[in-house]
Amino acid sequence: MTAIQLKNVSKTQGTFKLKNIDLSIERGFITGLIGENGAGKTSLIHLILGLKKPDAGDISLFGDHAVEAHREALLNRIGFVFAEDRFPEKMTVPQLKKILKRFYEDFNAPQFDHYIRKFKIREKQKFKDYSTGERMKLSLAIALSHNAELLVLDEPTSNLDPNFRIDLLEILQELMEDENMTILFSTHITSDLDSIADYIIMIDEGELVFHEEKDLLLEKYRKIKGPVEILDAQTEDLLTGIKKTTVGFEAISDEHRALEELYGSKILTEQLRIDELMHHLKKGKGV
Amino acid sequence: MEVFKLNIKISNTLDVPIYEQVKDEIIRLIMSGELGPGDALPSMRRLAKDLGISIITTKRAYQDLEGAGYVHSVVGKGTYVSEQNTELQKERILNEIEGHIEAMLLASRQINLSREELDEMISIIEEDMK
Repeated sequence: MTAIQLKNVSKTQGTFKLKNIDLSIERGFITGLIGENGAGKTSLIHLILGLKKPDAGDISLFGDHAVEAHREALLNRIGFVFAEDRFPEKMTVPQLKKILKRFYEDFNAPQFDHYIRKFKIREKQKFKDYSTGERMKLSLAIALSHNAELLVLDEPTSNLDPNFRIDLLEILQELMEDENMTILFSTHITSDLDSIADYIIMIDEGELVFHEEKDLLLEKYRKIKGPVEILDAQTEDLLTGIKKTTVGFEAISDEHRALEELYGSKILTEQLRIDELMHHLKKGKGV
Repeated sequence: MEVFKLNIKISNTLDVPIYEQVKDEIIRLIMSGELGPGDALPSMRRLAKDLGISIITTKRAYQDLEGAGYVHSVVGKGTYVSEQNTELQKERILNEIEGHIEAMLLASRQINLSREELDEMISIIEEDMK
């Protein structure tokens, strides 16, 4: 079952272009969207949510292709958090709650109150006095309080302190105990995804670099360390991003088994982190 | 809600894939008798949450365990430890260990490694693995 599907979607905005994006995001899993700042993560999310219209291609949410026309009904089923959410400056939590009740069919007020308390959001302060982190927490409380079946989070952790980030990741995993829940999570703090993401989508300069199971990616690519002496033309063919220092070389390879057979204990293979993989694949040609 | 107590430890720094660590830990629990036939395993999603790992990772571990006959799943209910022929399983693992020891002794002979040196190596490696 697919939660989000994009077929050959393109969008030009000024000098930036999203090019022929094909994506199918499965229901029931956590998908991480990675890429540098300006790679097109936010544009992609805006298109998915029907906040922008694609120049070409087809987008469907929960199998519904008329995302723009049905936006209001669809947004009831989606919780979203943007890096720069704006709230009316003079408003407070109780006033916002009244609006949310009208806007969301399934607004769950006790749940909302629960998260307001849990996130230690100040109820009587006007939103203009909120810090960026507090606004982010408020967005999250809203996203989590109307029985959404899809959560779309754009850089939710970038303005959060590390403690709250860990709490958030735990909350996301709790939500995933419901197998109909889907989470799309864009971030440049890729360590958020090292553990909990099921799939990773990487975009670079408006193009899809890969969309893969995280486990498969991390199994395929390994970091290789070894002595510089073993580097000959053939070995270098199996390696990319070779860095030589006085203590040996470090590189990335998708042929770590062959290298282990050739050099055994002379080399050390290690798991990559997602940020290392991202850095590597950005320079290369994708998976 | 049922409370599961699974004594599972996984490490993110080991070069052993997480799904394999999960699988090995559950096999260890079955072998040691901490998990008996008919015992329910936590749902994949619950275990993923409790271990702070992805759902696909636990799914893969459960699939492998099922493929190897350690557990079985009942549609709509969950995953349960299967009736094990524990003796047979132990036999199988003992055989495997014998094979490794043979290979180890053959290799030691090539460089005239003494029994004491070999024992010492085992202790060091054992210490490293802790």
